[in-house]
Amino acid sequence: MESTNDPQIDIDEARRLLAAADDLQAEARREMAAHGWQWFLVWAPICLGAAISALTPIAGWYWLVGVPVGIGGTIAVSNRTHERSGVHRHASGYWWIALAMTVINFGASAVLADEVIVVVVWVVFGFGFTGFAILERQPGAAALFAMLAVAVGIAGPLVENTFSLYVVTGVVFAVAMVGVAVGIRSMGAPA
Amino acid sequence: MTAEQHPSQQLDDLVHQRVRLGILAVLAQGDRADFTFLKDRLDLTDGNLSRHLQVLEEAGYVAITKTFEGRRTRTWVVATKAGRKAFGEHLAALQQIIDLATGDAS
Repeated sequence: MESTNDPQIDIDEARRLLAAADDLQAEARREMAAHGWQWFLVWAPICLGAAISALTPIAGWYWLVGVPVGIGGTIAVSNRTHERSGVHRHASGYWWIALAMTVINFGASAVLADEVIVVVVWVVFGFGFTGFAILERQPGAAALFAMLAVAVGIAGPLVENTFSLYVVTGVVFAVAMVGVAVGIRSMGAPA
Repeated sequence: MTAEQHPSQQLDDLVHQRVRLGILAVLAQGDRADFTFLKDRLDLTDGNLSRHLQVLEEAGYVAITKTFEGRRTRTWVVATKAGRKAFGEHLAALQQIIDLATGDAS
């Protein structure tokens, strides 16, 4: 590493440089936030659709459509982000999370009883969405989804009607996703 | 305090330059940044930004890649592990300088 020869760096210069670096980092975060909210909006209607479909005859095969739509949306958002954003993160993290949610949920549905899987599915999605929020550097959103996942996991064995829990959780997740998307988008709006 | 102990001795001349510090600041947030984004945010010309990127690239602090999107070529800048480390250490040294001068050092 090269070092400066002048040990008496002007304190004002140090402050200016730190402030400039902070400003640019904030700009980079705003640029990413201007596009990062879309990840969450992709999954909000899918969560809501799961809750609504549970009240209809299509409940049994909803996720056969919902998951591919979610993954397709995730890929579409990553392509759009890639094209439009001047600074961004690699999309592979999102794809891996979407893939993990799919494999775990379909795997679990093959071996677990229906009353268990309706809880497991939201726990898995909750932690998956936590992963999305971590990738977006949104600690508040990550904490929210992790708490929801844990809450559903705890409530699952305690409630008698896991079907109702499934429906309510789907709506709660959808609302949380929209809230997070709006929050992140407002962060990315020009000051 | 001796000159050897002063945090300014930890400052990296390559990173200390305002534009190069700015480039690394942007790259510290994402995995990669577009050449045009950097040029606009740092208010530079193509040539000026290219020269600074070349300095950082030769130091092993950034890597530059090009992608083709249709007929358009996009130039992407990625901070290397060494670049991220140098940036983090530089910010820490600047903060230490301020802390020492204001008596906040613990």
